[in-house]
Amino acid sequence: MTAAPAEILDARRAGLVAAQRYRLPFGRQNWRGQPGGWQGAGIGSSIDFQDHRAYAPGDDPRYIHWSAYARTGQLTMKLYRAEVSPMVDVIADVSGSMTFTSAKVSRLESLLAFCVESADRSGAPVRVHAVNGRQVKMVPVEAVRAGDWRGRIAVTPGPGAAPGALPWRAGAMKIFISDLLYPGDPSGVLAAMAAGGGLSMVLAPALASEAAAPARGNVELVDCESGLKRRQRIDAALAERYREAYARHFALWIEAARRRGVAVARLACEGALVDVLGGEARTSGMVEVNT
Amino acid sequence: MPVFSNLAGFWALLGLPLLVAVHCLQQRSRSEVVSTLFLLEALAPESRGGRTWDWWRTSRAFWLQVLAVLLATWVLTGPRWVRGESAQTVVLVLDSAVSLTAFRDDAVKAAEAKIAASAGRAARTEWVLLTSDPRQPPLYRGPERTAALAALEAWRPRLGTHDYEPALRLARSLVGAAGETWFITDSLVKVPPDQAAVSVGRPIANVGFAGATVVKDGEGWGWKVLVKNHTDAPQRREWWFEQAGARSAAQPVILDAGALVELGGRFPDGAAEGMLVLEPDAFTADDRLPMMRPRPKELTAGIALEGEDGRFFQKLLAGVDGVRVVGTGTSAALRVARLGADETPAPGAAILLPRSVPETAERRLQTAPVVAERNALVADLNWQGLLGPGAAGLRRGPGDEPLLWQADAPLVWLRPGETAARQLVLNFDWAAGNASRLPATVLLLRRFVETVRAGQPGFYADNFDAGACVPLAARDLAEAAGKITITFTPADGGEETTRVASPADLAVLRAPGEAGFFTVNRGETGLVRGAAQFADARQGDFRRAETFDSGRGPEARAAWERATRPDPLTSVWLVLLGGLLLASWWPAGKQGGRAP
Repeated sequence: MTAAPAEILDARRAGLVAAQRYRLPFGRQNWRGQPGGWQGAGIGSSIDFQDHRAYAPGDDPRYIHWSAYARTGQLTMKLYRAEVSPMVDVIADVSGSMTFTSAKVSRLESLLAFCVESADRSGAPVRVHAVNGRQVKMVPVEAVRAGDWRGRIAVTPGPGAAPGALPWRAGAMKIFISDLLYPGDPSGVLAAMAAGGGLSMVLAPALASEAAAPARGNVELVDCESGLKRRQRIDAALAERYREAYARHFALWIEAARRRGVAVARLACEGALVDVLGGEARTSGMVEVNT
Repeated sequence: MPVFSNLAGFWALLGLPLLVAVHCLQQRSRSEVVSTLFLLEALAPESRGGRTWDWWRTSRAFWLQVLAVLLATWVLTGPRWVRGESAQTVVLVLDSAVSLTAFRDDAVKAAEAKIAASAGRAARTEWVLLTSDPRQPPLYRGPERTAALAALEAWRPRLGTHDYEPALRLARSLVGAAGETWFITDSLVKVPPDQAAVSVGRPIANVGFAGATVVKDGEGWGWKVLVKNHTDAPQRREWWFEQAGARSAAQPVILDAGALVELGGRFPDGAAEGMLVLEPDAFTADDRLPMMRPRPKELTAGIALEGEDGRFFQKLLAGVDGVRVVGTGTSAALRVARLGADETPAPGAAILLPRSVPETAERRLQTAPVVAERNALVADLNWQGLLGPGAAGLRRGPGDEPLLWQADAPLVWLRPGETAARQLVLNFDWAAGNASRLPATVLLLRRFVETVRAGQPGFYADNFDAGACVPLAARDLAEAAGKITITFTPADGGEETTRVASPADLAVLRAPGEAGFFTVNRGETGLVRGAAQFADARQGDFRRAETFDSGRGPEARAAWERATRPDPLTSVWLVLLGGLLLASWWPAGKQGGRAP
């Protein structure tokens, strides 16, 4: 299912509104990258003193601690913290489960707009990819900003498998927007995110209707991604087991993410994004309030 | 085990697939697209069939309705239980007509089916398997069903057109009031009214031999054969002649619908027998025609007549095959002589005439009609043209059998004795009348000579219809008790068989029932060499053959009802059936709605 252009526009507008109030958590740690306005992890030229060390030939004589030399006779260097612009990698899951209801499409659109807008506001270079199973497509950031990125990529329907190798950059802020609805072990995806440092986050849009069994009685279930059909009689017992399995599925993701240092926030598809981000995402430090 | 009085009631079982179809349609009414199918597959990993079965298993209405259909089927089929003291006799009469050879396997299967259907309809069953051949004993009679089925293998239909009524009458008398008779045949026209029958026939495009003659002419031995197209469409066949392992070139014969065509040819030089073969079709009994060059027995005849009479008899006897006229001095097997009124004839076969009446005697023409007795020698002969002075003075002895009468005097009679020694007495003045120019007289004499010749001991060869009588001289039979063997070689190339003739065989020795060559030997001495030919062209006509099952007659049904009792719980089943239907439509408990 695809959302109407008006819905897409509204969703994008909601993301921009959310970006006015919240931003990505750039202040949460030291970054590496191009010179910018955020505290870096290395030695730089900011005014924030970091350390002393002995002079080595080739060091910039402007940073020699002359007062210390006067007291000790030893050439000592003053080291200042670097100021960088953190890299932001956003990968959007565009599999069937993310697009088969207009609510999910809108939430994906608003989250993507929020991330790009937030990075732009912070001067962080951002790179966007779309993934569907094993297919990974580069998405031009300008297209995201213009709101027509979906027309720029061609992703064929997949069988509903877990994503393959994702192009995360080391030390970057890694944001994976996915509902996490695919079978298999989450460790592969999370390990790849956690590798290379940086900050890893999963923004998981969630539909309330997915938490309950699809229906009661005898139904023919059609998988939204593979098209596979399955005739199933769903009684109260099976519905209860389904509810438990759904909860267990995300509990496994959250536990695996916690072990890897990856933050996971499940964001309801219902309601305004700015309100949703103020909930679990805000409390878990995945967004910060703009100052 | 119950037996069912109304097999049509099993059609009610069609309600089951109907029921399944209705529930399947209900089952297919909802479809949903979901994103969490992998979670459900992990929860209910059983196969699709298993999940379907789970749906069926939990559908209360479905199972109640299935039970209702089964109950309705049970009631509609009218189950009956066999009484412990019941007994029945089941008689199967198998048509022995040779036309059944084309459908023998089907007929055996039909008989097996009837035996299977009749089994269990009474506590004890007597099985009787008869053929319509009145000369054959029953194939089986007894209580063993398996033995009855095994006995079917011995059935060999070989007869031509024959009367089925004696066998069917015997069957009905064996059955009495408890049991049933079945006639296994191939056409409705053979089945008497009110006779339960199974027909296994079907139209066959048959072309076959319909008759043959082997004749001698000035150039030697030749044959003429009739080929009949028994269909309503033109047919083309090839035919050829086989002799001593060699085969002539095949020649085509084209027959219009229902046409009869004559083929002719000559026996190869020196060939005593051969086989005419028609391209085979579904009915093979009339596709091979064995033929034998006839070789009659020898009969010596001595003529003791003078003048015109002597020349007449000389000419007459010389015209009979196998008769050799010898001098009066030698001992001839047949004498032609005159007899005085007071003389006693010498023993031995003879044609006796009264001594000549002197020319001076007064002669008066007898005008009384000549009347023939019922005898094969004078059958179908016209004596109205016989003119003469009437009976002569010969006296009839005790036991003499008159053949012709004029007024109250016998004109011709037979003196009793064995066939080879009979005497024909012509008690009228041969020269004074027109007897020598009357066809009836010539034919009478010729028949008598042939009869005497046939009664002579010795070898002969001839062509016979299948199953026809094979004459043997009484003297040959008397000398050969227990020593006569019959060797038969089927025309279709089957294995040659030799058997010792039983006393029943020797009472009336018959040619084999199927086409082929046969030899009758007494010890090492040959008596007869014959060709048995397919004889009844009507058996080759399958245009009216058809397949049907008349079903059991009303008497058989009444007997069966006497041997069984109805299901005493029928009313209970009906009440239960109503209850099941009501329960299946009752609201399904907590769900507050009707069951699916």
